Amino acid sequence: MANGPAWAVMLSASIGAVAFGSLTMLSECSPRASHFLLWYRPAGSLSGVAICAILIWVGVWAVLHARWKSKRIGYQRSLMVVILALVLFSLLATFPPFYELFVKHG
Amino acid sequence: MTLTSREFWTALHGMIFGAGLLLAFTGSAVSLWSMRSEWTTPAGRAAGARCLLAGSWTMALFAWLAVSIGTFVIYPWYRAAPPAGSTPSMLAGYPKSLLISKPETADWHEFAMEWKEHVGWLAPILATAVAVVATRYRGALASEAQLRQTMLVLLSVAFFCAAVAGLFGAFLNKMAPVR
Repeated sequence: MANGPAWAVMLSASIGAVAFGSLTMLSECSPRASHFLLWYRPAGSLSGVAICAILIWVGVWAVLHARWKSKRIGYQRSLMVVILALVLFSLLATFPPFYELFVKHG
Repeated sequence: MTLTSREFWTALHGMIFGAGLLLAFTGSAVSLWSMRSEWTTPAGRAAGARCLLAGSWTMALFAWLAVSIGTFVIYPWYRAAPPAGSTPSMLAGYPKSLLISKPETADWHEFAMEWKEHVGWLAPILATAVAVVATRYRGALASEAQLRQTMLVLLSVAFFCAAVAGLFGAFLNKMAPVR
């Protein structure tokens, strides 16, 4: 059974999570980025961060699915490690004491 | 016994969708953990797959509803700016301003709310990925150990994110309720 579509879903979700974390850092560290991400003013830049991350996730998912839809992925252990690393980074990137390091020094 | 409109939306966000999401995690995680070809019969795999489908889609749906209502309905009330010249005693309807008006409560916004509003968004993305894989592979997951392990990690991280958001949400609603 092809397992490519399953890995495409999970890898794209972890990339979407990283996109969310990275955009969070960007919006907290850069007033210009924060202003650009102000898509729904009452909710602030969180609106743009969330919508952009969802678009990136769905876009990456579509691309990976198209490439892997009938494949049997052999390097599953490596993919697991990559997904785990991406998810851990996304958690770290949304943690205020972490991104505030870059606000102070950026 | 009444709720204001804002209290209703806040209860729906946290007590219905947020709490429902956290409860659905247990069933999904147990189904995923126990779905192994060496432990289950074909009938057991089918039953486990149905439980996993129900739990993971409940988590995903509730997570999307919780973060959407939180971000686009409740958060604007939380962060609304008070009228110019407001004194501290006039900030009851402006939770963010109320919290940052005093040094002893400022961290409830600077740390708790800042973390909650962001980390919560990871939950629907990760839970949806698990639900999609569960739907596509169902009982066949029993013979895919690495897929199952990765799904369990994503599901657990989604639970952690929702738990952080829920915990701080409950504390924040005590410190500076949205009313």
